[in-house]
Amino acid sequence: MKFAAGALALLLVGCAAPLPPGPYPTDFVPDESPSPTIDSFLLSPDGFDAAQRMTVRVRNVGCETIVTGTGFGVDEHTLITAGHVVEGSRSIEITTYDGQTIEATALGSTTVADLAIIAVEESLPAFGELAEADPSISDAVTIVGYPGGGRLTTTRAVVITTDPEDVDPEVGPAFGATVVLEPGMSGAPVLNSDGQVVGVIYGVSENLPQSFFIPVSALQTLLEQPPVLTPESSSC
Amino acid sequence: MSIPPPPPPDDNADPFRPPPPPTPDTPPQASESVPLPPPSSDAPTSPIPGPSSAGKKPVPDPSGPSTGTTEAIPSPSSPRTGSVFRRTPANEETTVLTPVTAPTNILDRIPLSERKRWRLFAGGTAGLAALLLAFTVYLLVINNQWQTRADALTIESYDLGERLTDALGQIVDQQAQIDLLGEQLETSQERVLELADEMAQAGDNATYTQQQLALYQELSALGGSVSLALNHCVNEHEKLVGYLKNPGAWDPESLAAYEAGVNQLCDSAQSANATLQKALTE
Repeated sequence: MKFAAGALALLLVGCAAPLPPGPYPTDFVPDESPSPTIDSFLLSPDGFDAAQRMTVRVRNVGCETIVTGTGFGVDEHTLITAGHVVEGSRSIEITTYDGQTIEATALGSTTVADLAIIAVEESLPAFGELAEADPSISDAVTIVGYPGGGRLTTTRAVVITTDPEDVDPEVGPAFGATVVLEPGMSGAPVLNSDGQVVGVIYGVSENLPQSFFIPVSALQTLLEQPPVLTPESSSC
Repeated sequence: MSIPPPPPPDDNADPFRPPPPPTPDTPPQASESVPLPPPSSDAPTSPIPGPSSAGKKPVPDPSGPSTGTTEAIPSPSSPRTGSVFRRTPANEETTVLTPVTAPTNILDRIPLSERKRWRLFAGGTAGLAALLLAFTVYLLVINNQWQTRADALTIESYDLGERLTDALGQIVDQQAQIDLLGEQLETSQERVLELADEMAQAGDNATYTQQQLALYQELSALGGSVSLALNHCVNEHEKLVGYLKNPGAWDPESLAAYEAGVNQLCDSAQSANATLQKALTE
């Protein structure tokens, strides 16, 4: 009995005995080397982000008047801005974030809210992507534009509700943003956290410290309509 | 007196127990012999001499009724085996103890079953020892191989550590360059935005200047027209004054019509002049 127990113990020890080392590895460096995982949306040839590159400065040259505003591209040859920015224009001049000048070839009038479409012949450096739905209340948004016709500026705000009496009824439904914008920001894109366009700035409140923007649903309605572009006038 | 039969042999008697030494009271007497009861088959071959009991009072046997002639006294040295000293009244005075012949070989004193067990035990122990020896040799070989592997891995680890240190140093340098380039890029972007703003402002100013220039050109043209109209008015007025100095030489209706025309011309010139003055004031 003792021998059997001893043999069994020896057998168990033999089963648990250490094994010789395997073949020596030829290389300790893994085959798959780490690759950069930079979002292509953030890639830029000159370091400016997409929101800056898609935003343009609009100069409305009228008869003895000059009006500046902001616009943004929705494709390579189409810009969106506020309707009152291009009102009474004799010519429209577009400048990009880096100072390049783009000539507008046609101006589209619209009955949808306070929006206007500008067609350009040259390709825009970048254009934005429209969001599929309007923003929600308390969403954080980014507004990029040219306040006072000055340098390109980025402003952050939060979406809030608006007082219907404070909004022009001809404009239609509008959202508010917790920021007071200067003239010249009309037509600026309102971007969500994913960089998608969720609205277009068109005015500021006279009573409350907030600005108004037209939701992207109205913009999509405008873009779904057949374009009615009229050539710019050369006479006053 | 009758001699009681010897007690049955004790199965538990220790067959290996050596015979007790003779007591000094009763030295063995080889010259006298006393017949002893026949040995039991399981009992040792020679009777076990007991101490002499001459001159002593018999001790009653606690295991059975006492006959008064023979009593069995348990050995005080082996209470387990129950070996007894026999004492009979007949030979109480002439007890002869036969010397025990010791076994010549120790194995001979071991029973056969015990020998087999001992042989099995010895064989098993030897086998286990052989296995342990082989296992020890195996462990030594494995240990040597692992020791060699550990040495190689240690060298490789130091090499990888040096390469890792170099890579980390390069990362630190490149990160510093990235930070520097990032600052330079930010500065360049600021400058680009400033230049773009300056260009836009310059464009606005140029457009405004063009508008002002166009306005001045219009005013200038308007001023020229006003000046021409006023000169024309003055000239016609001078002619009219000359005509009126000799009114009889001219047809009165024609002179009146001419005078009305001159007045209309001067009114128009004055109106243009008023428009010019108004534009200049704006």
